[in-house]
Amino acid sequence: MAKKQKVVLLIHGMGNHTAPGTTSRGSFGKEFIDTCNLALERYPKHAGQGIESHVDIVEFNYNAWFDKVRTKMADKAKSVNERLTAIGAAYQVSFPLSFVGELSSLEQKYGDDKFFYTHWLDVIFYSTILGAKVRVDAGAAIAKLVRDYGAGNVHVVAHSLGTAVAHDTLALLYRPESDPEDKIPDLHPVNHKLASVWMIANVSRLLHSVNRVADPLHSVVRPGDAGCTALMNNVRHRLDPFTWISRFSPQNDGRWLLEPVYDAYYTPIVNDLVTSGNTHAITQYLDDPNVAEVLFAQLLKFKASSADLAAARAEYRAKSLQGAYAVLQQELSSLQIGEFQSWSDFLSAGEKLQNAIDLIRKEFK
Amino acid sequence: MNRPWRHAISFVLLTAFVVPAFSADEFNCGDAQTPDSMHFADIQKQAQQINQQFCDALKAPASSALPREELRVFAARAHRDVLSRFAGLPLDQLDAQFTFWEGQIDGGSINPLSMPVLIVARRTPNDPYRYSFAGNADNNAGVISLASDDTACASAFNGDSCSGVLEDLANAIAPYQINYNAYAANRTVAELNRQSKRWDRYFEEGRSLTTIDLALTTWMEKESIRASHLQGPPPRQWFALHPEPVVEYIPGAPSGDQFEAALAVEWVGVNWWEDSIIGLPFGASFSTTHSERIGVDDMGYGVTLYFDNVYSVGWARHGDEDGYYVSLDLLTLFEEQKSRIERYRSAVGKVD
Repeated sequence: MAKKQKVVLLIHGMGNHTAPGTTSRGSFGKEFIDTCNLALERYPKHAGQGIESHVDIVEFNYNAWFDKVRTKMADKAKSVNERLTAIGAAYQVSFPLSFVGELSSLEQKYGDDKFFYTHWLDVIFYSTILGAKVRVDAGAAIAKLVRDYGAGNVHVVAHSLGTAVAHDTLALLYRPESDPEDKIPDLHPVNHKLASVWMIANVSRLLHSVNRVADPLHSVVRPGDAGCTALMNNVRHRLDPFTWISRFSPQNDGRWLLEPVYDAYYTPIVNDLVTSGNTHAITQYLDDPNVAEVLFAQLLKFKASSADLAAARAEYRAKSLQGAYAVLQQELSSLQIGEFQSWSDFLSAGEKLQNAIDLIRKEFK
Repeated sequence: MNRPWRHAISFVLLTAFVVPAFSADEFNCGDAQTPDSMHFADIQKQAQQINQQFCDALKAPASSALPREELRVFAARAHRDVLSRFAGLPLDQLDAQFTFWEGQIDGGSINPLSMPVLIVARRTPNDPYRYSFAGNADNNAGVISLASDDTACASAFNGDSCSGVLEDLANAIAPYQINYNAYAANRTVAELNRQSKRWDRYFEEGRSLTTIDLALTTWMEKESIRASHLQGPPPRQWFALHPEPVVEYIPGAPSGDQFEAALAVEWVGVNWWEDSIIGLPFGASFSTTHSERIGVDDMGYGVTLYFDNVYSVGWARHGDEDGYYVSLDLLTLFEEQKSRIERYRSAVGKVD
């Protein structure tokens, strides 16, 4: 297929996401394309068009590598546990064998499919040196598209943990000044300014409080002359528990952006309609016209009258689960997930988020 | 030196200087990835010519200077053309935007050159299109703001809306900077790919890490990881309570119990995974070994040395007895060597 003028780089979040093959989409890419195509159908002038007829789609996948690390640790833990058994060690009582035994037992479970191992472990892994490698790889993916399409034709769409990957990478990749310690040539905020950056279910501030890579409220990841992108969009759902902790929500008060820049180039979007049990899913975010119409306005020559926009919103509202919001709001309000100051708070937040997700799933079983 | 060797050396020397080293990220000047301009074909043609001149200069830096004078002439001419074409139309900010652009090209930064594009930005379907050169958007009064159906340009531009005409203008100018900015981005790609390969080696060739090792290494190397730029891997790995299956020999143990499988636990250790002062990857740790033998303390305290990220040798004191241990990989290596030596001896024996 001929190369399009514009390209979208997708960066997935926590959880299992298959990597794209040479001729096949990864799971996140498929979700993005399928949902965008469904959403486009709501606008008469674009019915029958697929998103891929307008833009190229490229996926950055780091889950495959995290899986490799998880499997290696699980396999190594297995051989250690076998040796512990072989030497008949009473590791339940004798330190350090007791600790080694517990750690090995934990690591053997890294291949399991429970939420902690498939989701929260990603967050923990990203907060270690593994995250530094992910950022180098993400940086290479972004720089390649800037090279091949021109930065003004590159849009970055990140979801969940991917928002931290996107933010941290861009913050380290774009520097207006030189640094003699920096051996990697940086991209330039003027010459390589991106077209748009999308942060969907933004957890970049959450990760910053753990890994201290770059503060989203003071980094180059912003629109405007000093920023790395022309347009920036920040999306959350009121009932997405992942956006409750250390929420990125700058106000239009001149502190993060000049007010005219905030008005003209930054779009905060808050969704509250519930159409599926998983309020964190990228599909629910993209399907909402609050998001879809803005995404399409920025990605393609989007033509929709006021009546078209209103009809699309009415159609989506008709899909929403009646009364769900009120019920969920009441049940989730008791969980009290707040800011955290330590690793134990962080791990406890993971457990509470699991409870929140179980509640939501139970409600919409 | 005999003739075949001289020919071989000559060939190597010749090809080293004549054939450039292949790089997977070698920069290739591409065609301008912008649609053909409907209204500003002349400007676009000049922009493409500048783009090609930059390509020639970047590919052969020793012989060609960057075409900075040609670039200034192009920008000045484009500015004049635009003012002429839009004369009388309600787009007052165009002059200010192009004055900014000329200023950037003429007197902006030198390394890198400032080579902005004319950005077309629309936030939502209900917002106007906004046009400004990159780096000149914060001054809201200078930004050109147009509704999609603005008809003021129709008579001068074959019925096209002003927003359509300005988008066409942006596409016409854009080619001038493609190769220069792509070349810079390619340098970033090449170095990031190099560091990515080093990260792969850190995890594949370096010693395996447990969760605790990951946490400790992250903490001990935090200055390099939290640097304000993307980084390759740190030079060291750190270990705490790291278990390693070993085989231990305690000469003073009862006969039949001297060689036993054991578990070494590294209390704290460090490994230089890529290189060290001894010329190969090397590490050391304070360790304990654990095994069960009658008459010998189960736990021994000592040190372990690691070589080449794979092999380890250690010593531990079990009460009154000394124990010596090696990693299973080293043991396998010894066994392979032993088999090779025996095969050689058999072969020599047959010849004799």
